[in-house]
Amino acid sequence: MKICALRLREVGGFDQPVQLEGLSGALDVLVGPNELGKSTLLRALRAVFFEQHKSTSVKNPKALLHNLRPHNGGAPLIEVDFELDARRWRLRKQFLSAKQAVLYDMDAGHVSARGDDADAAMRDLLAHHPGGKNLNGRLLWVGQRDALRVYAPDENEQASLRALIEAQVGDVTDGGGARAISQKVQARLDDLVTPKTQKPSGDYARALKDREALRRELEMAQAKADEAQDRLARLQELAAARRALDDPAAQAAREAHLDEASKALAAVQLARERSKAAQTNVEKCNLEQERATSKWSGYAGQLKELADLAAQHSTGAQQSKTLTKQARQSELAIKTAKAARDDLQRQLNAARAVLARYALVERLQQAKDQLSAGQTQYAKARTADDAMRVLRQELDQLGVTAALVDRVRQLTYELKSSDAQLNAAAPQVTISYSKDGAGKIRLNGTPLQDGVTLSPDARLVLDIDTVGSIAIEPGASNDLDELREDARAQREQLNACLAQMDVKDLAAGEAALRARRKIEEKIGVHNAALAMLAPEGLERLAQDVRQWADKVAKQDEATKAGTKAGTDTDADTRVVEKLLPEPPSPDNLPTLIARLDADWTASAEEYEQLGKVAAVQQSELAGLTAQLASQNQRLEALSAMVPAAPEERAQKRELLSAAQSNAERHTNRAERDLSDWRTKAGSEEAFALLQRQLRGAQEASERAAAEKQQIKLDMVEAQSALQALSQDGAPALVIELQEQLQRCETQIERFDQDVAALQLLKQSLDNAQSAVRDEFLGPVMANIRPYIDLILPGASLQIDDQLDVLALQRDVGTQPLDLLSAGTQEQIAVLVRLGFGRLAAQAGAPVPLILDDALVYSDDERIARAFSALALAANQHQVIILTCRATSFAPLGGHQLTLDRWNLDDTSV
Amino acid sequence: MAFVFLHSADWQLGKPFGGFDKEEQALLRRARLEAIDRLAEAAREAGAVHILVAGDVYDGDVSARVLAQPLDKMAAHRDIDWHLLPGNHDPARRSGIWDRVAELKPASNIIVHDQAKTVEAAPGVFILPAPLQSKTALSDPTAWMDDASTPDGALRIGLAHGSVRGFDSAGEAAVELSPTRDQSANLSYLALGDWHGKTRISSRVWYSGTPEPDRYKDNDPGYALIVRLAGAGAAPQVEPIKISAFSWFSRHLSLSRADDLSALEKEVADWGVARGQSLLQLDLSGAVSLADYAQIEARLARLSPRLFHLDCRLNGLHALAEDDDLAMIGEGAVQVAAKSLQKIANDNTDGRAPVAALALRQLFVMAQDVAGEKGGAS
Repeated sequence: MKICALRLREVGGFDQPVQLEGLSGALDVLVGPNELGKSTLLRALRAVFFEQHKSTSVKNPKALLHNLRPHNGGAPLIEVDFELDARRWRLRKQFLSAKQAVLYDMDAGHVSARGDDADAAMRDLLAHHPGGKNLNGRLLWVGQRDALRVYAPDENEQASLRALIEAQVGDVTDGGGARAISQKVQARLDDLVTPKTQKPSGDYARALKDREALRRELEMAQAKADEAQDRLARLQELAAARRALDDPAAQAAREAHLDEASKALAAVQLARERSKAAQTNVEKCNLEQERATSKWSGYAGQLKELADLAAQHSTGAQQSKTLTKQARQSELAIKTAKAARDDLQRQLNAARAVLARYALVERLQQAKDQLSAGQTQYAKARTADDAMRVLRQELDQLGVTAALVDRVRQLTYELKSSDAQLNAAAPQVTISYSKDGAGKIRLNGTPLQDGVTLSPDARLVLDIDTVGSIAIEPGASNDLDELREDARAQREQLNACLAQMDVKDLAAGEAALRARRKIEEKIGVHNAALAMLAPEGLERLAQDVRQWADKVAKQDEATKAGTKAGTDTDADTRVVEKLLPEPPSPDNLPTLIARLDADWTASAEEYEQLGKVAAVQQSELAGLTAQLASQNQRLEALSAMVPAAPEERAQKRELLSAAQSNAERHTNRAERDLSDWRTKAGSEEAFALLQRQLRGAQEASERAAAEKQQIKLDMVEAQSALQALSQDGAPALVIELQEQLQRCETQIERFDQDVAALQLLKQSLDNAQSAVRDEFLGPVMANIRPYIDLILPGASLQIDDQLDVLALQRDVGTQPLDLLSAGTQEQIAVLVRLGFGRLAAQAGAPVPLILDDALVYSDDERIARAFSALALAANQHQVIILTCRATSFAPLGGHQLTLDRWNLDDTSV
Repeated sequence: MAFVFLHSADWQLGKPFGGFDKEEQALLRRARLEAIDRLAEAAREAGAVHILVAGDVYDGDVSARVLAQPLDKMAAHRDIDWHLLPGNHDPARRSGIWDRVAELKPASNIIVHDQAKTVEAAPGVFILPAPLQSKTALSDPTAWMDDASTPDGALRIGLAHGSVRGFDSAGEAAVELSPTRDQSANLSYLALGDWHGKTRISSRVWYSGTPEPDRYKDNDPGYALIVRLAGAGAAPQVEPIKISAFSWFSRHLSLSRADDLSALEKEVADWGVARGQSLLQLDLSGAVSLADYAQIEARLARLSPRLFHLDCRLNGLHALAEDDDLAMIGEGAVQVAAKSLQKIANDNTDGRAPVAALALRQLFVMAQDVAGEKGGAS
């Protein structure tokens, strides 16, 4: 299709009818300023082709007619001349009021249709295509506001393009069916599984959760039901066991065995009891026999004892007499020994008393000597202390100290140093007279000697007779002032120190210090003597002297007391003098005492020994006396037991012998009985065997009874448990839960299958869509390619099956559209439409492409390339450029259009 | 001496119906409760004033509400004496459900036979009950009836719950009953429970079945028996009376196309309003096209809400994708995806054939939906 002319009246901002005539059908360019109404022209084209003339969609701001309403009132009238499939047509439509539509066949020269028929006829013209497919939108454009976005073709465009594509690649589209179904599948999947992890969700997840809960409940119920079944089986086992125990034959056999064992054991037990009785009888007979024997032997013993005792008593009486005599002799010897011992004791006491008095006198003398020496020591210590006190007073009066002397030394040195520096800084004036001039120079009226050198630290005036005077002043300096100040301070301190020591100068101070040290040495000597004489102090020494005096007094009193205590001192002395060949003294008394002490010890031991001998004799005598008395008693008792006459004694002896023989016979008979019963009772092993047999029979019987009782209890317990389990209704619950679980399993199985099927379906649809898209987009990409190579060399586009551009692929990588520059975006928008136009042209259905103020952001180089593309496209189909940029678009060339006033009378339909 | 009574059993009040949803469970339980009213009405119509329930009145240790409500209903029918026998679901154990019933002090027309002893229900008419003390019984609980003494000429009616030995009536209770007890115990009639279907064991021994079915098992449930005894030696006249509110059906259909469902649809339509009280277990098998499969699902979806419950099992029904099916699915990518799935469905080497077949069915349905939406939009 080609647009040949366009005419407008009462459309948008046009206050006058306008016309665009003479379009070439190739590259047509309308250059005009802003507000010229170029966009209105584009909208008018779209309206006249695609809007029903009776359309009322004017209130919608987005509707074409809304934007075409005349600003100054009226009804929009649009007329277009176009060529379609080599036939020329004129279409006129008036909207809003006085609505009309006329389709005029220009080649035939008559109206082809009017009104609704014209709308329908126009649709038919656009719909019919050499390929036989619908072609609803035979117009491509890039509008003014669309230039910055690479918009997808609208529904009409898409339909047209699809028809064109399928004319080349065959029937591959499904009208969006796959996409719609895929969305439905995804929606169903979203209801069942999570989008990312595909984990069950919603009802599916709830069913799985219910199943787990039901399984747990069923497991518990099944366990209870199984337990009930086990209990029932156990109950049946117990019933069978009880029946076996209740069998009469078995019970009779158990009882017969028990009776037999009981009888056998009873017979043996009787024999054992008789045997025990026989044993007792034997023991009794033995006892009787022992008694008879004892009586007989006792009587014989009595007779013998009587004879023996008589002989013993006679011997004892003789021994008693001898011992009595010996005891008297011992008493005399003891008396003698005691007298000797007492005499020695008296001598020893006298010697010890005399020696004690000698010791007291000696200790008194020693105390007196100690007191005398202490008094002498105290006097010397006192003298030293007094001398030391005097020396310390002298020392306290001396002002000089080592520290002061050291300070004076330091100050003297510093002062000398300061003076030396001042002298060095002072001018040196040396007087040197000529031959006749000696003495003529005076200082303060005093002539100065030849060779005198002066170092004035202050102003100095030398008078020279007949000549005048010379004033000498030391130089002024801050350092010199500080030095002088230091010297003055040092001198003041020095004088203060000297005054404190009460000396004139350093030499005097040092002499005074030496004198101080001599006094200190003396004090040291006295102090050492005092330390030796009274190491713990003078007062302590005085206290010791007083104690020693007290000691002498006490010792003296003790000596006097000791002398007085021995009132018979003379008697002691006389006793001692008799024992010594020379007068007693401290020297010979100890020897005497030692000798007397030894003699007394020997005498005492002799006395003690004699006492012991006498005691033994007394003891023996007492024992013998008691023995004789006892023998007398026994003799009297025995005499009472046995008959006095010998013939009577013999007769009694015979009787006792006969009784002994009789008892022996009884014993023999009892032992025979015992032997017989023991044989009948049998061995212990045999008896134990019988006992075991009986116990076994009893236990078998008891066991049977216990088992019956236990079975009874077990049956009660099992029945009780069974009832409790039945109360829970476990078997019925199992059935119910199994039903619920089965229902749940069925539901889950359905979910499983649904999910698996939906996932497979989704995958199949995705794969199919991908494959079809690749096939579908082939012609599109092929027709866009020449323009990409022109405008964006080396790049390629990603386009989806909705023909929407997704991204630009270049060497630097894939870039989403919205991240590209405005210029690149509008270039892509243009080249995509160029590709679509080329596609349509290749399909034999060329459509005009209208660019309304497009390519406004492109740089010079790109716009030049775009012009080349537009020129190339114009070879395939009509390209109409509406632009306000005359200069920029001048290189484009093409057929220049002008917008002129339209005189309606010039055209006819 | 003539005596008429109604024989029922296996009410199992409070049965949970775990395989159904909550609403269905509630309605099914409610129907069992309301069966009491229908039983009373049936008894009245037959001139009976005694209803013998041969065990399993309750389904187990039920809630207080389930326990009390039946008692109130029975009490409301004052002209009827209700003879209740503990069964294996509600055994007469210590501290069990019947002690709870006793604590509620049931009305005097409710007689609980929880002990094996003769009870004179009417002059000259003796009931010999065999209550179960637990879910299981080690010996035949009806054995005592042989030695039970009653006056000469009295009508002796046994009431028991369990399975009859030698007859294929394995019920739920692990209790075996002698099939000739009526003879050994000289019974005029032995009313049995546990086998949920109506069953004649002999002329004097019957299972009444449950008045309200609870499973798809086809054993003739939903009845009560009107028993007429003309005298001690006369054979009883037994008349089944339909009691159930719900009907349970089980059908198996082999399909080759969607229209094969028509017969079933007609049958259900013929049920009329009763279909709303019907439960249908439908087991489908065969092989149909995708379009037919979708149509079958759609027809079943339309059928389901007409029934009280439809348990449809499609595991045996296979969908075969034919060329026409694929053409209907769509063009382009949809067509490619459909062929891909068809290939997997026909080649089960990797075990994905069932999943692919289901995916293909889903694709078919969705494609139809999308087409419908587009058509609607245009």
